[in-house]
Amino acid sequence: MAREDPTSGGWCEALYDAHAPALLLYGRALGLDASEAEDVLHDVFRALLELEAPPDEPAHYAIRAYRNRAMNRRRGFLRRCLRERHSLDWFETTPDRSSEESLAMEALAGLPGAQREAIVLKIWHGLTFDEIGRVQSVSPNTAAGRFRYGVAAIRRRVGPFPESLGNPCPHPHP
Amino acid sequence: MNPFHDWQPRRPSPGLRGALFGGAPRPRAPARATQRFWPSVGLVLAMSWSGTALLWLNGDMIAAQKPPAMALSAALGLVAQNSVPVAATSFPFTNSALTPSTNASFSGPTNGHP
Repeated sequence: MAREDPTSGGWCEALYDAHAPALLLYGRALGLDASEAEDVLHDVFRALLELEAPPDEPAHYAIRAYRNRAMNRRRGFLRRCLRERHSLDWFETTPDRSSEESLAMEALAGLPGAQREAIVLKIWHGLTFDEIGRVQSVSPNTAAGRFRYGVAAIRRRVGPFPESLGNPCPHPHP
Repeated sequence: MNPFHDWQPRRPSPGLRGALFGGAPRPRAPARATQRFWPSVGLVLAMSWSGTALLWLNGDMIAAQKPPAMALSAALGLVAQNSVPVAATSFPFTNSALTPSTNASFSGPTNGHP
């Protein structure tokens, strides 16, 4: 990270380029719709830009900041009622997307929130179960269990994972 | 390595980056279909509610008008049932003063007749 130039905001821009899509996906996994996820992303980076110095672990800091803001936003009852869950637009559209992939994306979106969050943090943010546990305020074992249960549920929905999906859980422990 | 290698998270709107780091105003995301849909549902519900309220008020007004109408029709029905001689009591020719007298005297000129 560009810690040597803390006042220019260059570190923040680099952080945005590296993590913004994954943070948006994280927002969707936390139950936000597309525009809400972008709103939270905007708010988080506005706050990061106002910091006098970059935090120790900017990526982890951004995840926590995003989660806090997303949770506050989710509390509105009307928003919860009106929120839509379009799983397929969580990811970039590819012309060769198979029906199994679409089914797996729907299955991911249909998981309980904690499992969905653990899977997104593990796969798309590259966090360890220890780090996921700290984000979710649970033990690493619980975080690992949420990940495994979530993947198993997707597997049940889709059937045996096709080659195109790879194996999402080769080593369930960090 | 990302096992779901084909699943690239959707990128943010291009304008968001410009708004954060380029000072440009942030464009708003276009409203989704459901976001356009729910206000329509709200409008239909509001119209239905107001329509129901109007019908109810109108019904109330009709109900309020019923008693005088019923009283009038009842009165007319009473008149018809008892066959009250309305014409006999009020017709001017039944007045005795105008009834032709059989023994009235005539004192006017008679043109030569007795």
